[in-house]
Formats: sequence, C-alpha cells, structure tokens
Amino acid sequence: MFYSNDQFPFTRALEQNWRVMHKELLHLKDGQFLDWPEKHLYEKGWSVFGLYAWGVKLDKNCVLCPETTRVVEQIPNIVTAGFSHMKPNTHILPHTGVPEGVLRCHLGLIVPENCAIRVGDETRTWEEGKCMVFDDTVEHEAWNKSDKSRVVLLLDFKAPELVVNPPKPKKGFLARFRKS
Amino acid sequence: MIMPNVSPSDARDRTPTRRTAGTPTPPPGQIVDWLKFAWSSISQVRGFIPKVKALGRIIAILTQR
Repeated sequence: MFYSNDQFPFTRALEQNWRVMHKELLHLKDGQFLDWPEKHLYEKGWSVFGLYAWGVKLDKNCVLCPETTRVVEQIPNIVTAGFSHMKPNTHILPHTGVPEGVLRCHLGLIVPENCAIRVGDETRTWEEGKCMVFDDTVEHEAWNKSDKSRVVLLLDFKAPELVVNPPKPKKGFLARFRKS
Repeated sequence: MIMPNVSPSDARDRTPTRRTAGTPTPPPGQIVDWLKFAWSSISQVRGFIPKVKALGRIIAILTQR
C-alpha cells in the first residue's frame, strides 16, 4: 500500500534537500538515538533520533539539525519526524501501526544493499534521496541484511481521508474503565 | 525500486489490514517502554511548562491506544 509521491508535493522539497539532511545526520552520535520501544518487533538494532514526536517539537534535537527541521516544518500536519536507524542484520517483524489517521513517509539517507520494506503485498527498496509514502496501519515489515547501517528520515503526517484504517472515535479516559 | 515480492518472513496471512497470526503480540508491560521513550523524548523539549504540556498530550495519546 504505497502512495504516489505526486499526491504529496512536500516530498519534492525533501528530495531536493536530502544531502543537507544527510550531512546533519552524520554529525549525530549513536548515543543520541533512542531504542524504539516496541522491542518485541526486533531483537536489537532499531533506534530513532526524534525531531517531532506525537506532534511535539523536540527542541534540543532540532537545534542539532537546523536544516532538517526547517524542511520538516514545511510539511503540513506533521506529527512525527526523526531519523530511523536500522543496524546491520536487523529485521523488524511484521506489524501494523496504531490507526491515528497518519501516513508515513521515508526519505532514504543511507541505504546499503539488501535492505527492503514490505507493506501489504508489495516490497520495495529505499533509494538515497528518494521518498516513499505508505500507510503504516497496513501490515509491514523491514529488514537490513547488509553489514552496514540503514538510515531514513521518518515522517508521519495527518491524512485521515487517505488511510485504510481510520482512527477510532476517542473515548473519555474514564470510559475505559466502565463495563460495557 | 520495486522488488520481487520476496520477504524473509515465513508463510503468513497477507491480508494487509489486520494483525496476522504470525505477528508478535505486544507484551503487557509495553506501556512502561512507551513511557520511558516518551520521557526521553520530553527531555528534549525546552522549558518546564512546554514539558508538562507535552507530557499531558503524550499520556492522552498513549491511553487512547
């Protein structure tokens, strides 16, 4: 379930600026990345450096990547932005994202051979400087079978009219504890 | 680049819009991992009030999951 980049004009700006983002990425250190919390999906080797999380700007990280932040902030309705680092020989098992009315965009920054992502029935490889947009509520998995790291700029943006699985109506906090 | 549809995962239901039988179930304590992740993220937000606002927003989102 991949989408055409033509539907999302901001992907052009991302692709035009990928080298400066790549340069900023290279200044980051391993210790500045956080392990992704869904550890049941991978043994080790998946970490992220966030710029936006849950719609919140992570100021101190953004200062370290000013040009990347500038480009990211041009994207309408941005929810999540950051570098996603997959170490060599890492496999993220098939999973589905939580329906939150967002689509996901990956911009390839460091892409060795033998890396790919499957979304639904379609498998693609990343390309450096190229975007791919997909619906992460569709089952997907990714792998890096190379001996080098793979890094993409990961972005979630609101597009509830386009997602396959739209968000459920929100319940009040207390309603979660009431018997149905 | 589109590749032949070869995946390292074993046979599985390819129905794309739901979690499959072969997909690992999140462990019960995963909310703790999410909160640790959220806290590490919030530490990158500048200012006490923005931090508190961010924490509230993140907890609201996580409890909707």
